[in-house]
Formats: sequence, structure tokens, C-alpha cells
Amino acid sequence: MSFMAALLTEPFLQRALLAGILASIGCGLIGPWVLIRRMSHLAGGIAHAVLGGMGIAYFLGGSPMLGAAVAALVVALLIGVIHLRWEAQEDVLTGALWSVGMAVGLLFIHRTPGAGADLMSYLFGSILLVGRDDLLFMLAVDAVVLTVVGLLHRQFLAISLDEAFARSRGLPVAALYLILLVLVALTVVALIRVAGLILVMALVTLPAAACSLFARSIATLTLGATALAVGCTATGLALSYAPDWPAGPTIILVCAIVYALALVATTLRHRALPFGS
Amino acid sequence: MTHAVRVQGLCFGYRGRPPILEGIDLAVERGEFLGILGPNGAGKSSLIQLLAGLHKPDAGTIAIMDRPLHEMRHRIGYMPQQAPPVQHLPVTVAELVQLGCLQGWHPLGRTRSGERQRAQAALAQMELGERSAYLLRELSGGELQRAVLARTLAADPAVLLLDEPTAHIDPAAERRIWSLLRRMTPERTVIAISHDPALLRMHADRIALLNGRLRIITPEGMDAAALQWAYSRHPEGSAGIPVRRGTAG
Repeated sequence: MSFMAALLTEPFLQRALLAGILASIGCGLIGPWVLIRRMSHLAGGIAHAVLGGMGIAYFLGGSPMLGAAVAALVVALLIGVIHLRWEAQEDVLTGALWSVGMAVGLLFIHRTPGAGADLMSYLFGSILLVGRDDLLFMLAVDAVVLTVVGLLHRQFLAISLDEAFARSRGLPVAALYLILLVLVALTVVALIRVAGLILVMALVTLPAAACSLFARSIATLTLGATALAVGCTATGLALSYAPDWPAGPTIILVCAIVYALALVATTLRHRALPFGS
Repeated sequence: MTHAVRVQGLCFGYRGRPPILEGIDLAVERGEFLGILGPNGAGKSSLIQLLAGLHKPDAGTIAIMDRPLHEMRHRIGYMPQQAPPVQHLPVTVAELVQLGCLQGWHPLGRTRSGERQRAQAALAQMELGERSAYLLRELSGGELQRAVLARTLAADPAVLLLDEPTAHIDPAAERRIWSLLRRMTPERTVIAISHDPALLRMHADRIALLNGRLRIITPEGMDAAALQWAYSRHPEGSAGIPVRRGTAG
């Protein structure tokens, strides 16, 4: 059965596509800010440290996604405080949080009988297994991110371009930065089901990075990144269906190919332009 | 008499380091153009940042228009030394300049049409009106500096605090920017740092030599002896008299 035919009849595939669209909206909204603020390393730290919360939640018999959300928020705030108070140590401390979070998660999962079976799905995603609760969580995260970014996008741009100038205008730079990190954390958690915590950063950054090569405003970058993420997710899902490949890694590879094509197109376009234009 | 800026007994040092500014007194009149000159590490940027409210002084007071600084921050326009990194950003000149209208915690912003008008006026003052739809990465170095200056002007500040506004750009663009800055007075008060004595002699009403202590001179008083005073008494003792560039007589 082809992907399109299966999509019309298989509820799990319809949920997967819907999850991909909701995930892409989150990527489109937050990816540009990860790019503009040059915080992909920080966002990667949040994504990987999330495993600590999931492991503890497994061990305590709670919801792993709830554990992931709590861990993501805690790590985001920790990274924010590190940036604001110990900027010189930011790189090392973020890397430490990244590794320590994963180590804690793996230890707790090791001590929890049966938890290891789910580990691969959280590391690399399991978009075909998303349930109604996952979709509702993604929808809620998208709504929160859309609202906050809609209200504060100019403030986010001001602190991303020039913190000193923003502080001179009386903007609450620390609070805005922490809010941005919290939004990144929520988006990362919402994407875990789609791409897994190992691959999630590629889904957040690559569509935005590809669009940034052509976009002429933050608005077009956001819309373009969202559309491209939807396209990559749907294409990855479709490509993975017939040969029964894992969907998450296929989606990420599609994102990477699109980004590489965008880079090549930009390079060729610049070469075609006359000198000085 | 009303001063645009009045500093009394200002002391400041970064945590864990010796004080960089001690007992600084300074009075700048409204509409005056004050240049600041001194060696690296003398505290020029720190002084500007203190006036912009980015640091709290260890001692002393700062008044803007004879009111405490914290009440008057909205009347100050600060331009940092480093231009924003723009190569990877799809941000237009107009978008950048409108950010200068932001003030404090206003999640919804102010009326956008008013901001657009103020940004356009600031761009016109910086002779960049026709570049408003350009991406920042499409500007030359001099144009980018003027766009950043326009962002500072967009809030219609009474006092402009400029930390090396023409660092890293070519002499022709530098001369153009300083001429534009000179035109800001007497409607605004301008305090600007430069490492170029010739530029300051040409454009400033007075010059503050800073090397841990502060000495105010007139442009005519900017001679070899003044430069020797500014650059040889620095605590680190490593700075030399800057090479005069042929940009001004």
C-alpha cells in the first residue's frame, strides 16, 4: 500500500502526520531564534539533559514526558543563570549539563526494569506511536510559543542583536533571555516524540538555517522555516513508510539534504551575480 | 545652570580588580560636544557605560538634566563599541532602527506607525533613508555604523553616548559620520570616545583626557604635551601617543 493510500485509512499515520505538522510549527517559531541568538549548543544541552528527567520519572513510576518537561525547564533555567552569571564558563558548564543529564537518565533507566525498551524511541523518536495526549501536548506548546513569540519577538530581536544596547533601553534582558530558553525547552520536549532527543536539534535548526539563506525578514524566516519543516517532516514520513525505515532519522536526513541544497543554491546564486552587486 | 550631564565623585571598579575610575568630576553643558580620549584600559568605555546606567558606581552621583540618572534613562541614547553581528541575520535596516524605540517592559510595544516614522526620521538624519529595506548584511561597514547610530537616535535622546562610533571603518566613512554627529548639536548633547586626536580637535567643543584621572581641555589645547599627559600617565604605562592620521587638520 502506498503512503498516500495508507494515510487515508490508517489512523496512526494520520496522527503521525498531524504530529509532524505540529512539531514543524514549533520548529518554525523557535528555530529562527535559536539561529539568531546562536544558541544551538545551549539548546542541544537542554535536549540531551532531558534524559535525566525521563530516567528519574521512569524510576519513580511517573510519566516520562512529564519528567522530560520538568528536566528541560530546570536545565533551561540553569543554563540561563550560567550565561548571565558565569558567561566565561558557559561552554564548559553547558557541556557538563549535557553529559551529566544523559548519565543520570541512563543510570535511572538501568535501575528500572523494562524501561530500556522505550529508550530507543525517546533517543531517536517514534512518530508512528504518537497518541492523543502527545498531540494535545504539542498543540499546547505551539499555542504558548506562538503567543509569547508574537508578543515579544521585537524584544527577543533586541537582546539577540545587542544586549548592551537593550539594557541601555531598560529592557529586562535577563528575564527575556530566560523566557526564550524556556520556550526552547518546551519545544524540544514537544519534538522528542517526532525526532528523539538525539536528533531534535537538527529539526529545530536546519529548516531555519536553510531559510535564513534566502529570507529578507524575521517574519519570512519564521513562515519559511515552518513551511520547510512541514515539508521535510511529511516527505521524511512518506519516504520511510514503504521501506519501513525509522521515520525520525529519515526526517532528519531530509532536513539535512534540503539545507545542503539551499547552501549550494546560495553559493551558485552569488557566483552568478556580477562583482559588487 | 542646567547641565546635560553632571558627574560628582564617581568611583568604579570591576569586581575583584582595582578601581578603574576614582573621584571623577565632570559637567557637560546642554548641546555640547564632548570628546573623550585616553589609552586602552583607562576607563573610557566604563565611564560611558556608567552614564548609560549599565553599571552602578561604587561611589559618587550621576545626574542627567539635573535629575538622577535612573529617572532620565529614557533621554539617553547609548551606542556600544561593537556593531551587532549581522552576517547570518535576515534583519532589515528599518527593523534594526525601530528597535531603538523600545523602552522598558512593553510586551505589546508602542504604536508601530509612530515608531516607523521615528525610525525613518532617524535614518534620514543619518542619510540612510533609501537603505531602509536593505538587509544589514548588504550594507558597507560605514553604512552599518550609521544604521546603528540611527537606532540610537530613534528614541529621540537628549544625550548621545557613543563608544568609539567609528571603530573599524575607513577614514572617508569615519569623516562622514563625525560630520553627521557634529550636526546633532546643539539640539542634543554628544559625548563620544575616539582614539583619533585630530578628529576630536576638529569636531569636539571640549575634550576629556582620561587616564584614571580626568582632565578637560579645549580643542586648541590638544597639543603634544596634552597627549603626553593622556598617554604616559596610564597606570599600565604601556600606551604611546597615537599616530595622527591625515583625516583632519
